[in-house]
Amino acid sequence: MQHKFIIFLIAITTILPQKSFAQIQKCRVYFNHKSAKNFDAKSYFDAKAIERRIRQELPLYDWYDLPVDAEYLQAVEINSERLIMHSRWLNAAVVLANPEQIEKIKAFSFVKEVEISAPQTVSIAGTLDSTDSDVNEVLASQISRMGSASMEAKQLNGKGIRVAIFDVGFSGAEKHKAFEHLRANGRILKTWDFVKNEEDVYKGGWHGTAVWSCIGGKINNQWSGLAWDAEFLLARTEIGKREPFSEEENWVAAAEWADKNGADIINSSLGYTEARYFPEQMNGRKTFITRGANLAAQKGMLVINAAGNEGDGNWKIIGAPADADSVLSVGGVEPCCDYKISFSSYGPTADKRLKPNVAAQGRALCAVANGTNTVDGTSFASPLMAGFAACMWQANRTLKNMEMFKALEQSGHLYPYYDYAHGYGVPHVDRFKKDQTETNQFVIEQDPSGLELSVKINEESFDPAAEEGKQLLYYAIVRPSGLIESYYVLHVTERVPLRINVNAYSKGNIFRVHYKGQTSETEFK
Amino acid sequence: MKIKFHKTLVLWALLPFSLQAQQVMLSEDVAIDSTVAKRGPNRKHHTHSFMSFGTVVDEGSAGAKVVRPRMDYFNLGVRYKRRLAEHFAVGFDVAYGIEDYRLKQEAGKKLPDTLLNNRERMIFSSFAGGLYMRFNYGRRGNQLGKYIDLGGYGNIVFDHTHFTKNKQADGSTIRSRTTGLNYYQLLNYGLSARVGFNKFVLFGQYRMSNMFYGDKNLPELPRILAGLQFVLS
Repeated sequence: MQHKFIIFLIAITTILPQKSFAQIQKCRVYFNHKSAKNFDAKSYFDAKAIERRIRQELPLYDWYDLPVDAEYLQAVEINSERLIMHSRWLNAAVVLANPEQIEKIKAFSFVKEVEISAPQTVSIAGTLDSTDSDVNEVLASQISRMGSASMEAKQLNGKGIRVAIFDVGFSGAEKHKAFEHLRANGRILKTWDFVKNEEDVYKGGWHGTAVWSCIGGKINNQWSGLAWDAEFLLARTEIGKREPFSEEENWVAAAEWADKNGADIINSSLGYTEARYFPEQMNGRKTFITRGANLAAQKGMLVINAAGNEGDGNWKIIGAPADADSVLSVGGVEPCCDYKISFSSYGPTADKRLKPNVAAQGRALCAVANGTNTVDGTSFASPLMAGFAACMWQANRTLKNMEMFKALEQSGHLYPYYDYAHGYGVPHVDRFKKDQTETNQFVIEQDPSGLELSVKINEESFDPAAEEGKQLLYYAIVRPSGLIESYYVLHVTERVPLRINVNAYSKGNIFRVHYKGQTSETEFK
Repeated sequence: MKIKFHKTLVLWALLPFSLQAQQVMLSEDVAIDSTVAKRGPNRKHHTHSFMSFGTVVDEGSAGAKVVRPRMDYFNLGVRYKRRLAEHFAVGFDVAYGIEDYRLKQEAGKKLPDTLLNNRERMIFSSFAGGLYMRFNYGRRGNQLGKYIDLGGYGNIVFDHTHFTKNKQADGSTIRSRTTGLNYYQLLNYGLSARVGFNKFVLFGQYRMSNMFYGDKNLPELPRILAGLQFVLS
């Protein structure tokens, strides 16, 4: 027995590590060239995709749309165990290969880089936690806070807008009452499971079902999302609990599929953090999925992604692809009030760009596999925002995707104020593409000695009986470069809610304050 | 997953540099510099606590056979890891552990004597220290990832107890508890191996030293332990 154990020790010392390092590995093979000259965009793309390109003054196709060279694919396929997928946008193939094969592939003159990928576990940005909150209150506020009544009056419901949803699965959605109107009107255009390469996506989990209902569902005879007349493309890109790196490849493949099939908006309530990456890698360039998301935006699609639920965890900041500069990252706010819900991930990115960009309600009443439930997560803030964006695009069809991105930021309740918890805040239809009239709510005063700055709220703008969280003052210390050093939200209980010592701050920094629609600032001198 | 109610961020606290107390809903300082953290599961330094449950794998030598399967081993400790390369680290751990052996009552039993009892146990409490090398495999972010640890350990046994329990003909029970056993060695040592998957670890250890003084001529208790270890934080 003792000998057996020693043999076991020797085995795991020598064989297992070698086996692990020597075994077949998954690799991303990037090619350095595309030789395709003739590309028939009109036969490849859906008519809606062509329309989107024309509307946004984009070329019908560009280098990224050209197919990967068949010869390259054939060469790597022959010299590997298996060709798993390929991406036009990233001009890459994903293969399974042993070290010898990897060396051979690296030696090809047309191979730019081989990146070793390996299975890892990750977290989904959304959580599905049931709460005891008042469901009707949650349902009412999740869309009304963005102006659902105004939108209904203007018949804005996402009609004509095509939304692609990437998720873990849409269990139960094929029969769920919440989507009856979409099924009846033929609004579910295509589905594809990129995990199993099959059409059926109504499996794998109900996270996608819940997310979808926040864009276009109907619960208890009320709309649970704003874009209830939009068209949908449903893609399963996530595997579930055991989630390997291939999910990022699935995501990019789904983005190409969404582009080909004419999507205007991609909603992705997914995010990848510490299982695969370090916080310093959330710089908008590092991850495969982030690069794919930026390319999706280059194609004219508006990519909306959940900021993540790491705000009260060790990771704390946004994940990938919410770090991409062209992805509209959506944080979560409380149902009651306009401040961050505890778990919503913070910005900025590792390279100090503003994230999240905007916010929406972080708790929602959603359709789940066998009914409805109140769930928490920025996973649901993101689709609420996607529904809003679809309606705004319906009303402003000439906007290009990044113009829409800016317009959504500018319609945030805090704009032009921003911070790394709320971005520009929760958008509202009444602020969309409208000049904000500067309100007169408060003044920033300096005392005669010049040592103290105070914020004094006008008498008519102060409610001494305001409920907690309903009368908020936001302020930030901002560097001249725009980078925020620190930021705060106060519940205002008196007319002079804040006095600060000027000497505590660096000269040149800016003291910026937002209260009830007014943003003012002053420089420390 | 845990329910995430909104109840954080409502703090009654002083704002930095603020001259007035306020009801603060949110207060955040932004990490302005881009210093890369040195501590973390896949950083230069990492420390975490752990808890293990194990069982003997062999049944012990003739005369000292134990009842199996049962939980014979528990420990609670702290482990430090120093990452030296992407796939290699070294470290040490310290732990408090309990080994609890239930001796088989059968003919030929010699430990600690030839008397047969209804029940008989030997329990040893110790402080342990270990050194290990870690081989990680697979890509990972800031996580422990998948790994194999190989190393050695040493135990200082500070408490050893021998229990017996016998039912009498009249229905009464006699329990005995003997401490300060003079045949048990203070120190023992061995080899250890672990296979880890983030917070879950399969471990095995082989005791190289004898438990009992040679001049006592006592058979040895099982030398091999295996079990499950949980990384706690």
